[in-house]
Amino acid sequence: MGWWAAAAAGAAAGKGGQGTAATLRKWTARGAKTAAVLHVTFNYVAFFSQINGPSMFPTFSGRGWNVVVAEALPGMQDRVAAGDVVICIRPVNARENVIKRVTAVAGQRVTLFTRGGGAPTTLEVPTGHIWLQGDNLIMSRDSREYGPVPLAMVKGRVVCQILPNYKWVPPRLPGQP
Amino acid sequence: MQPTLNPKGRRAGARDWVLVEKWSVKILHAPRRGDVIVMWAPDAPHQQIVKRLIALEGDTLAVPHPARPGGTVAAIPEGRCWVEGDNASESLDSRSAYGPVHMGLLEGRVTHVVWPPGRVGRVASVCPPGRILHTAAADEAAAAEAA
Repeated sequence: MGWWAAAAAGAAAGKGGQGTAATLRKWTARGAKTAAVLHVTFNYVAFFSQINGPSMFPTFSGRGWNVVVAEALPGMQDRVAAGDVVICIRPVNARENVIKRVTAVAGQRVTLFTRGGGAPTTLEVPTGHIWLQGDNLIMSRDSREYGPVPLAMVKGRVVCQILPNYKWVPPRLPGQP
Repeated sequence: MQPTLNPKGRRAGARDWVLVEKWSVKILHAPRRGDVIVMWAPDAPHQQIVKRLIALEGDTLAVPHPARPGGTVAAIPEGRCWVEGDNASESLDSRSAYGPVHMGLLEGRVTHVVWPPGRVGRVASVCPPGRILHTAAADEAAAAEAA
């Protein structure tokens, strides 16, 4: 018997024997416990995320249902490596999240080619930061636009996709099969 | 953040313990200029730092500069903010090290000192005068008036 069945039984018992106050108290406690369990799970273990937009095509289509599972990284953001797909607070708007691939970590060098054929610039990713890029380079706004991103803004690492189809999301660097 | 916090230094026992409110920062995303905030250090993902929020995205602010008498001017890009310690000469902050920092690094707002008992009390939100030269909201209002 699952907890929901126990809850339903409890509610039936409450209706019969106990007063409204006792039933209310019991359900408030259950609601609080459920909320606490969900909070801990989603913030410290793993969470689901829906992807919208074309920036990670062809890894994720970005159309219709695109749901991935990400492992939360509480205090372990520095374990992300180049090639991982991560979910991160959007650097230009803290209310939103982005999903991007880490293409360089602190200490690695990145060469930026400017539009219009200007001279490429090379920069080193600073301590505690990562370089993010979408897999769809021509339709992604990423570190090429907003620069290196602090590791503290990474929320989780994508493990697998569950909708529309199940697949693992392995680490991969641009140019690798 | 001396003299606002830890006025007697950082020795164990003399340090302040503070109450941090996360609602206005993590849920409403509406921190205000002058608030004392807790944030992740941009260069160290395991370290939290306490600073005063001086300017928000879209602001233009005056930055004192030791070599230039008039100081310099900084424009805050989208999604960033400007933080400074109250103890200017010893603070690693936007002025001395980080430049404009990401709003996503903010964790909460310091509301009260709760320990030691002699220092219990509210932490005031204080905007240093004359630092903000323009705000994006003021520019928009001016543009609307002109149009």
